[in-house]
Formats: sequence, structure tokens, C-alpha cells
Amino acid sequence: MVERSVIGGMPLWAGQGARIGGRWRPAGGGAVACGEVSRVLLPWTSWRWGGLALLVSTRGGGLSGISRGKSEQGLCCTPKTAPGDHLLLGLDTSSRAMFSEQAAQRAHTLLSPPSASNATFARVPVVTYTNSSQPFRLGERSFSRQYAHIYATRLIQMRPFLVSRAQQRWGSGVLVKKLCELQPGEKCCVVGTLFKAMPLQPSILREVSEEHNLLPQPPRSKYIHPDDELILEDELQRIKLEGTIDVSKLVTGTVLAVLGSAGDDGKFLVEDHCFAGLAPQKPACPLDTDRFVLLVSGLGLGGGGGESLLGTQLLVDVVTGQLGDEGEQCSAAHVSRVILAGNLLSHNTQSRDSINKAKYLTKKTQAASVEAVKMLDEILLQLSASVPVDVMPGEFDPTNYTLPQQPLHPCMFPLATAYSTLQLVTNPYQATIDGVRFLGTSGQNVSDIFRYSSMEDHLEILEWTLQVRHISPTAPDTLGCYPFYKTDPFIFPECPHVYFCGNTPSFGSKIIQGPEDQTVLLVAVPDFSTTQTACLVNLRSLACQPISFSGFGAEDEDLGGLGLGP
Amino acid sequence: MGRKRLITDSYPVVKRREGSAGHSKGELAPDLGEEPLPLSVDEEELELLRQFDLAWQYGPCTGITRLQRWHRAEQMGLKPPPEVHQVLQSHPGDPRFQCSLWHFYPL
Repeated sequence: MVERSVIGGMPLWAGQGARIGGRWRPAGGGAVACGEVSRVLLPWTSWRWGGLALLVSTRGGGLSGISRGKSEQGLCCTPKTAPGDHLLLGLDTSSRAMFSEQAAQRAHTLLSPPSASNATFARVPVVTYTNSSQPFRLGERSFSRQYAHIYATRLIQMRPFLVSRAQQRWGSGVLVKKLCELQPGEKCCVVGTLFKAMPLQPSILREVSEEHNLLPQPPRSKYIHPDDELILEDELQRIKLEGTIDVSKLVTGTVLAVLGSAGDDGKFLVEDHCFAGLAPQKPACPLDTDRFVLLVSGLGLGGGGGESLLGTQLLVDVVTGQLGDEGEQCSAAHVSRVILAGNLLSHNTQSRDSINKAKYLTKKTQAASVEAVKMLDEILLQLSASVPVDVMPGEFDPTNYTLPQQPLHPCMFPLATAYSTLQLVTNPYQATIDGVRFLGTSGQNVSDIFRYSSMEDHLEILEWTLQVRHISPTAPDTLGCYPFYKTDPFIFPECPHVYFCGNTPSFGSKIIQGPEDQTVLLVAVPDFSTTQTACLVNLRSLACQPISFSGFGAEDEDLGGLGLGP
Repeated sequence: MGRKRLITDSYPVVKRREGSAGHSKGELAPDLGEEPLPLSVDEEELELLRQFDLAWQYGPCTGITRLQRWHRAEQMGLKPPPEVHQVLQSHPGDPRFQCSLWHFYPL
């Protein structure tokens, strides 16, 4: 096969594109490139990849990363397109801010012939970076301890914050009492840890109890029930809570202050309650140029679908500057860091069939995660050759299950660890990038709270954890956690500027203001394997923009019958 | 027939009180109003450590050594008694001093 360089195609400009199946992606500031399909380079097969073929020329001729890398695998377009057709690859930067505006300024280069001199763009260097995830690193681990220690330290550490918030809210004369000092009928404030007694919560004791002879419960999406009860515990006693408190919204492990009085029946009648609120925040030093951090989560490799691989490769190519004309490449050079927030491997790599099958059937088969990790290594190699990457493990990744998850081992990435730009970090992850404090998790804390609370929106849950001043209050109860004894590292010592969580069903972002001039950008990073969307955070303006990398998706199954052609 | 043979006969009799019957059944509880006899220095220190273990203000005591618990209490600002720290420092490596009251019980 002769490789010939593809020339920038017919005069297409924003607003037009090739028609494939009667639909096309309007360029609108997002068009990456256009060009000619070369029959030589794209072998005809009847197999379609995501319904869209690409790729085309970048400035300076030659082929871009996608088809160069993938032509051996038969990347192709639908059989009906003929050479000479022009295909448009759309990059949907829908919110028309920052990234695409910068790109549009240089868009005139899209339609002119390749320039004689190749334009090069140097990536913005990271001015300052410090990794502050040290509290989440576990050295030697000992599991011969009970979880009472983590609850005791949580209460002891949070008590002063709650007492000061209670005094701010209900007046400095409010009586703060312990449960053992309660007098019936006296209005006072009590600080303690919540416990929610849920009949639907999966209980191992009920499962193994022979007298009940119960079958294990099927997993549900939410375990809340109208009969749930809230119980407040402090160091010595516990008391049932009733009154104006939203039982379905709160979860076990939250430390809060309640105002009310003890009734004669031994229950506490709540009039009002408050949380510890946002931690104090150090202001970020303002930056003078636009710098972006790309947040992606849920790459889901090894999942068996070709659609997400296309999206992943597009993402890598955009970040490494191999897609787009000079405007897009210049914008991509302003991306100073990429954070992969968990679930790099797909849920399918975790199949336990090999445990149930006989040994002689599974002897020569490899675990599905081996192939997936090799793919991940290649992707990380491409990324880390160009940009600093932080890789956080997630729920389905080969590391420990309990929080805090330790970094993936570098022996799994023999190619990518050659670059010092690759950083394998913990989950949760905390770092200061160019003066902006980032804190985030791979989403297990938020999805666990989602299961046991009536809150529906993942962004709302993320904001709630910030108000409660604890990253994952359900941690030892329903979410696995290491038995810490000295401190509870999940309490926010100070408020971050960007707080994110990965693997949410959809993108969400919000800026919240705290009572003491704190400003936090909350980002719910969506699952890339289903939504093909990543998030771009602008460090200068603290705004977040989604970028989606989808081709014509799986819903366009029937492109063949829709009259393609010139 | 002499007196009954008790299982506790296999243990050595420790005479703590002068004039006691030397009965291996154990000491009788002191009558009210009687002052407990002074214990040896070791016994006093162990008693101090046991009281530190049972104090609820400093958190749970199981699963960690007394020194770890003391340091945790100090870092959290709970002001644990410095005498406990001195006792622990003067007997390093002795499991009767360093390990908590319940350390023979698993978890």
C-alpha cells in the first residue's frame, strides 16, 4: 500500500460539511479538519467503526494519528462512500467558551493550503506542582484493629468545628451538652455521629443467619425506605432522633450538631441541625494566561466496544496536538495537565467466571484485565510523551479495594513509566497545580452516598460532602475503608479550589460560594466510556467546559440505507 | 480426709498479706474501712496504665499500643496525663506495660 499524503480538501468552511446519512456535524468552531478519502489508505471492509471514518489532514500534510495508527486494524468508512467524498470530523466543543474561541481566532488557516513552515507550539510548562496526597498513602498496613478508632477520631476532630458553627447559628449562649448530661425537656445542642438504621441495607448477619433462611438480596440502586430511623451517637451513648430532620437525605457516619430537647420517651426531638460547613480556604494566586487541566474518568478499556476506543484515541490526539488546525493546536498547547480519575479498566474485566469454572477450562486463558492494561499502557505512553498525566485508580482497577486506594503499580506500565511525566497517584487525590488546589476521587464516595440517600444528583451529593466537611462519611459502614486509628484523613483540612469526582452518569459543574469567601468549582466528571465527554478546567477563571469526542454514535445503525454519495 | 484438693493448688501460693491463711482460694475482699496495702512500684504503675486504658476521653484502647494511644490523644489536644508517658518510656519492650488491657483478645 502506498501512503500518499492527503491534501486539504475542497473549500469547506464552517457551516457546511459532507452529508452522511442526511446528517452532518456542523463545524461551528469545532471542526477539526476535512479532506479526501484515500482509497489506498482505507481498505474497504463492511465493518464500521462507530459509523464514522476519519481522518484527514492536518496542517503540513501527512496523516494524523488516528488512521496512521489504526489502518492496520481496518479503520474504514461505510462501504458506500467513494473516494473523492469529503468527510468531516466533528469535534463538539459545545459551550463555545475558552477553548473553541481561541481556536476560532486562528481558524483562517483551516481553509488555506498548508503553510510552508510548520508552526510549532510549545506546551505551557507547569509552574508549580505539589502533590499533597501524603495522608492517603498507606505504608505498612495492619488490619488487626476495629473501626471504632476511625469513628472516635472523626468525632473528636470534628467536634470543635461543629460547636463553633452551632454557636454562630443558634447564638453563643446555646448549651452544648453530651448525651449523658441531657435533661428531659431542656433545649440544648448535641454533637454526635449519625447512624441510619435501614431495613433494606444488605446485612451479612441476616444473610448467614440460618434461622431466617433468607436468600441474599438482589442489588438495588437505592436502599432507602420510609421506615429508616436516625440515631445520634456520641462517645458514650446513643439516642433516636425525631422531628424536623430529613431522614432519607442523611447517611450514616455524618457528624452534625442538633438543636432540640430530649423527650420523656427517651427520644430527641430535633428542631434544627447544622453541619460543619466549608473548611477555610487559602486564596489562589491569580494567573495571567489561560491554563487548562483536562479531567477524564471511566475510560473503560477492555470493555469490548469499539466506540469508546475511537473516543479515547481522539482525546489523546487532541491533547497531544495531532488534530486540528493551528487554532486548535494552539489551544491544546495550553493544556498543562491531564488527570485520569479512575475506572481506566472496564467493569467487564472483573468477571469472576474463572473462579467458577473448572481448572482445566481456564488454565490457558488470560484474565481480561491483562489485555486491557496493555492497551492502557499504550495510551498512557502517547499521553505522557506530551503532557504530565496523573493516573488515579478506580473501582475496577487492579489495586486495593478499600479507600484510600493506593497508586497502580508501575510494573504494569513498562512503556509509559519511561516518562517522568506519568504520575501514578492515590484515590482520593489532592494536589496544587499552578497555585490552584485540586481534590478529587474516582466517584466511589459519591455513588455510595447515592445508594443510601434520597439525593439524586451526583453534583448535589458532591456539594453535600463539602458542606459536611467529609469526603466519604459512609466510609467504614458501607464503603470499604482502611482502619485508621490516628486521624481520619477524609476530613477536609482546608477547602480546595476545584473539587471533582469521577464516573458520574452525566457531566455537571457548579461554582459555590462559602460563608467565609470560599470559592469552589465542583466538577462531576462523566464516565467516558458511555458519554464520550471529558472536562476542561480553566485555572485562570475557574470555569469548566465539557468536550465530547463522539462520532456518529451507535444510534446511526442504518447509515447504509440512507443514500450516501456525492 | 484432709481438705479438698483444688485445681488452684497447682499454682504457687503467693503470700501477699502477712497473717493470711495461705488459702489458694484467693484473698478475701478487704473489709470496708480497711486501707488497701501499698502495692509495689510495678503494680502501681500497671494500675495507672490500666486506668488510662479505661478512660473514655482518649478513645478506644483495643488494637493499638498504649504509647500510640497516648500520642494520638496528645496530638488531638486531649491532654493525656504525662505520668503515663513517663511510665511507658521507662519500660520499653515490656508487653505488660506497652500493650493494652485487652491485647490477649483477638481484635
